[in-house]
Amino acid sequence: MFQHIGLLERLGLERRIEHIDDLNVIGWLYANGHEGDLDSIAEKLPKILTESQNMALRTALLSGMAEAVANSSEHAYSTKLEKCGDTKKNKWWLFARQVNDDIALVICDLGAGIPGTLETNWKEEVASYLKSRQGLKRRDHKLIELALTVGKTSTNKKNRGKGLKDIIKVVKEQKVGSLQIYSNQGVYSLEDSGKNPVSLDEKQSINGTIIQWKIPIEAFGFEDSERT
Amino acid sequence: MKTMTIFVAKDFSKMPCVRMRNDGKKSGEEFRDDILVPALKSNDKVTVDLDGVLSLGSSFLEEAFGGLVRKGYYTAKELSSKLIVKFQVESYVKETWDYVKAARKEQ
Repeated sequence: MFQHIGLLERLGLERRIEHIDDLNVIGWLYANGHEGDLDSIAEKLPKILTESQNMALRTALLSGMAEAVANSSEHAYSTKLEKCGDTKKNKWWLFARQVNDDIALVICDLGAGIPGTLETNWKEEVASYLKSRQGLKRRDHKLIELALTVGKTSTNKKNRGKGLKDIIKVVKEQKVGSLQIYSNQGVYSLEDSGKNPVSLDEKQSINGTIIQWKIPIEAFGFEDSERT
Repeated sequence: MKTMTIFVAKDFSKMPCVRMRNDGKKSGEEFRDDILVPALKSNDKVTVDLDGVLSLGSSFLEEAFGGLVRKGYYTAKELSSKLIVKFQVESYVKETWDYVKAARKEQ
């Protein structure tokens, strides 16, 4: 996997396998970037995400993915990278593959995280939220919940910050599959048509954000013979 | 009456993504300023056909269409008689017009 995604080469290490053919590895669509340019991956996407009958579902999923990339391109890195003078390193990584009867789609970035951007730019809302719930300690998963509820991310412009609703749209509106958000120490999980979200804090921060959707293939209305 | 149709998937991008040019290629700002506004200025009616586009994130939609009002190019009322938005999934057309109606001209 490290060879497939180019990590070995970046580390200056030799290729270990001449021809990668393990289905657990080559099955992953892999892309990355430092700007929100997704045009280059449109042609690489599996047909189930571009031609399946359930257009509302695939559009919702790919729009959530695009918005996650847009969020990481717009602001997640701005402060962190400007501080170290590096604005050209990869900002986001995308992985997609079929896992048994599901399609898994994963986006990750190493930005300030949803809690970080929320706290930085929506201080008053965060303070008010914590104040209204006496005894509630500041926890990353609570800030993720707040970000999803208020639909705001890290900019003070009122026209901005609508992206998180795109990210939960598949599970909430299409009522299918599951969504996991890992951001800094916070974990937020939505399954079962979005009825019972689970959230918690891990002991250690991942210093960024990972968003993962898992959607049953049958929900796309795609025939077995067409899965290529 | 002079009319024009913009086929976004063919003429611009199948996966428009970000809001501003600074954020990356194929932004809402780029589509609005380089394609949509010139089309609206030189035609009586413009149809934006989104069929074939794979992703329609709110950052792109809000900046491209809500931005028409916010940047002072047109009012929502003017756009209602000048602009047609087409997409097979109707909820995205409604979302687009919601952004147009909610936008306020920047001072």
